[in-house]
Amino acid sequence: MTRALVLLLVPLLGILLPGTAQAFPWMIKHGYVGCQVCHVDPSGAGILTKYGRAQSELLLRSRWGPPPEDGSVSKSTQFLLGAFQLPEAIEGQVAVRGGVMLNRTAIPGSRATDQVIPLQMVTDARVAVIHDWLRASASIGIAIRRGQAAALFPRQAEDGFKVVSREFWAGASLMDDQMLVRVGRINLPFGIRGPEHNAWVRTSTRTDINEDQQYGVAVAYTNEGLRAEVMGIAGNFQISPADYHQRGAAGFVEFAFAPQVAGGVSFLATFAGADNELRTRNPVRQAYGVFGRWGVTTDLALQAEANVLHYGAEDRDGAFGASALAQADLEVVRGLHLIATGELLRDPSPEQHAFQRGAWLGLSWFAFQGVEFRVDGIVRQIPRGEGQADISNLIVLSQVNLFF
Amino acid sequence: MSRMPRPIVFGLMLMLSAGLAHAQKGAFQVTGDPDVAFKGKAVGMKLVGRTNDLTCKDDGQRLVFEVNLDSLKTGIELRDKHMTEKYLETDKYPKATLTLDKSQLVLPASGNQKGSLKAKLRLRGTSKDVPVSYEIRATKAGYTIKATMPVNYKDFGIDVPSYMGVTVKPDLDVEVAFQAKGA
Repeated sequence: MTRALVLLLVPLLGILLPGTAQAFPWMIKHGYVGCQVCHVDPSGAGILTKYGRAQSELLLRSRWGPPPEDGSVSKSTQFLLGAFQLPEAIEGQVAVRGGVMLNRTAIPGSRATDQVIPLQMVTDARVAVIHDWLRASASIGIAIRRGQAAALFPRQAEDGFKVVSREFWAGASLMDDQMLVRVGRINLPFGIRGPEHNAWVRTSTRTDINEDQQYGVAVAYTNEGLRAEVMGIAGNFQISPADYHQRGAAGFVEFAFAPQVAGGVSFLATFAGADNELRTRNPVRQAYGVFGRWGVTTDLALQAEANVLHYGAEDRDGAFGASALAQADLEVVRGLHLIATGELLRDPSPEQHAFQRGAWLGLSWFAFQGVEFRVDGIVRQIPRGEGQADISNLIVLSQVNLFF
Repeated sequence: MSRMPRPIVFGLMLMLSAGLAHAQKGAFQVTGDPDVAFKGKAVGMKLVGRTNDLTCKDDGQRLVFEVNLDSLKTGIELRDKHMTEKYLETDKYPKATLTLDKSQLVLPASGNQKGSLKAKLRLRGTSKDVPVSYEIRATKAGYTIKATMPVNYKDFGIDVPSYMGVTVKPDLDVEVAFQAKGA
């Protein structure tokens, strides 16, 4: 009875807790092959442009009445639901994402363990400047636990209250807004940038948009059918010592074969003096991948990504691995998405001898302007070794995203 | 007033109905479910507007294809509203027409026929010659026809469509697919 109650309450609690403007790669089903139409970051995620804010009403959220007669969008699409009028060149956004995670882990031969973990994922204020050729964006927020990689201060604590800044950059827009050259702390350009920041394709490549941003210089190019970004990575200067700083490069190029079909390739190669997680010396991390998106209809979008991974270090032999994700997003009615995802991971660091397997089934509802409720059931099978049964992991993740 | 003798009236009616029947038999007609699409581009997006409201009038010399512009849909209601009211001004110019000489169109007796021709496009009150590439396949019921043509909306006095910083480029591709019968 108690367990049943927990299973019932966890999604409800998630709805009551605080959420982020995210990247929605399934927007390709509406012909949006690039991201910079709606996001200040040309490769997606984060603060929205004015056009993006309008689309959040026109395409994203459930509709609760006829559109305004005068052919405009509601005032509620503006910053803080229109409570403040920002200057024309300034974009602002407050983003909160939080929820509850129920995590049940079953190891054969042992009793299953349950954990209920309240989550505060994002509580950020964001600002961007779009004036003539100048582009700039910055975020500042708080993290109650984790978020160490994005912490401004205190920097060394793994848990506990922190002030975080996930991204801050300035740049120049060139070639009629087709090219952006920027420098600062930037999301790494790699693969499909979606809201499932903890999917294996993101964690295995360390391209999670929650806190894996790096300092560096990036050049992005977008035209009507092509988008690409390459970044020279100088390291994450918000962690120390400098030995931990990963340096190298990452990038992707994606081509739209049709208004609703696009495919691309990505790469990432970094080296560091030491690995702060695996305690290896001179690690070299590489990832090479392919990805594709297809808007089958205006209700259904498919996407997939597959990456080959390689990890080597001075004190560890090099090993290959792989990560992959396939996802179908069905918009059952306007604003309500049923999302089915399958994923695979064979981590080269440490080397695994079999694939981890995962499946997600999620329901996401953009109920009101800037409000998303989402519940995901995630099952993951983690192999232990030859002759040993897999570890089973069930996660029920409930979250609320607010982005005003 | 003298009355026309009945045999002459019957004779004239017979000739008239025979003539009409002949004209109906040869008239080129759009059948089935036609598809008319324009494809536009902006930085980071591709835009498709679509309708199946296509008709054709055949006066024996020319074919006049008509598209009801109010029926074009792009997938976003507000965008459709801006497109029809602000840019195409469909209250004043409800239809786009494409006129071509029937003699230019080569209809195959069997198999496929590819070709190109010049046609006159009338859009938003302005007429301009446009090149049309077509492919016609003979079928049991008539023909399956696919045609494409480039259109620059500036040539027709249409303002540059722009919304919150996103601007549609002037060069559009128009694609038409339909079934037809007649000759």
